[in-house]
Amino acid sequence: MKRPNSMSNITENRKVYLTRVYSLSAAHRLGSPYLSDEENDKLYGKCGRSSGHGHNYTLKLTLSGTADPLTGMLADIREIDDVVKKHIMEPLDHKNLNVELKTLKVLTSETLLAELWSRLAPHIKNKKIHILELEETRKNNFKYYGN
Amino acid sequence: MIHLTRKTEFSASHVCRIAGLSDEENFRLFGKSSYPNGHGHNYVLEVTVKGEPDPKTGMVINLTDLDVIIKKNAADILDHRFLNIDIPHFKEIIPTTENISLFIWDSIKGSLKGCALHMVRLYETPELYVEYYGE
Repeated sequence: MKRPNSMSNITENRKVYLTRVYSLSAAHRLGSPYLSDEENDKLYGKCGRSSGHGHNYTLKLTLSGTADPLTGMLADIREIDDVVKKHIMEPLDHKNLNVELKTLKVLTSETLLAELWSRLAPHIKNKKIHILELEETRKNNFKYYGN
Repeated sequence: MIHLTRKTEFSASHVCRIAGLSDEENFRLFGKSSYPNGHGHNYVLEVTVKGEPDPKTGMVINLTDLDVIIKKNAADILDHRFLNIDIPHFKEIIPTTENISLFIWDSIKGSLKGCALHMVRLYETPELYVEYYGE
């Protein structure tokens, strides 16, 4: 596609952050295979009850970089949505995370967040993920910067 | 150092298109945002300033003054306008959330006294927002 040369370079060298917010509802339970039933019960309390429970997770994906001078956009949000849909929403939304993510020995928001990052990162092409943020409830918020 | 955030809202229409490209090419770049007659959003603007509280007033900046600065220099100018048509800056520049955020930063920055502009966060929808820190 020909790039019109009249485009302003207002975006040049200016770093912006773009955040997209998603909602993910899923079941899980806390429990560590490295601990006894009694220890698990003591550590995780109601979060470890054997039948599990669920949350409306809020996932916030923040990309950083300079906007394309042609489009004025940091990213095509449709492409980002497609990646999130394919690699997170379709496999995990309205599912039981302990069933779907058997590779995670312990399923906390911390381990889940790192797993979500590793599912997304290879598919976010030419963009830097700045933060991935997971709200388990309005009271609990986890952020991962990829380090 | 205290960071202080003021929230403002404005509603505006816009369209994301590049003149000279076909409808198909524009749709490929911008999706529904390229529909030629435009569409609108209720934008939510958060402006964060930073500074030391004045020892006399205990304030980094008078919130009323900050509100006036945001509205006079940015929000009121954009509110209930068709950005591509009514705002000269956006005749050439596509009013994406990224570019509107930069415009707001540039419009407000020079009017702040006694504190520094830290961040402009602009929500296009509750699920999509852009932040600019002057980097």
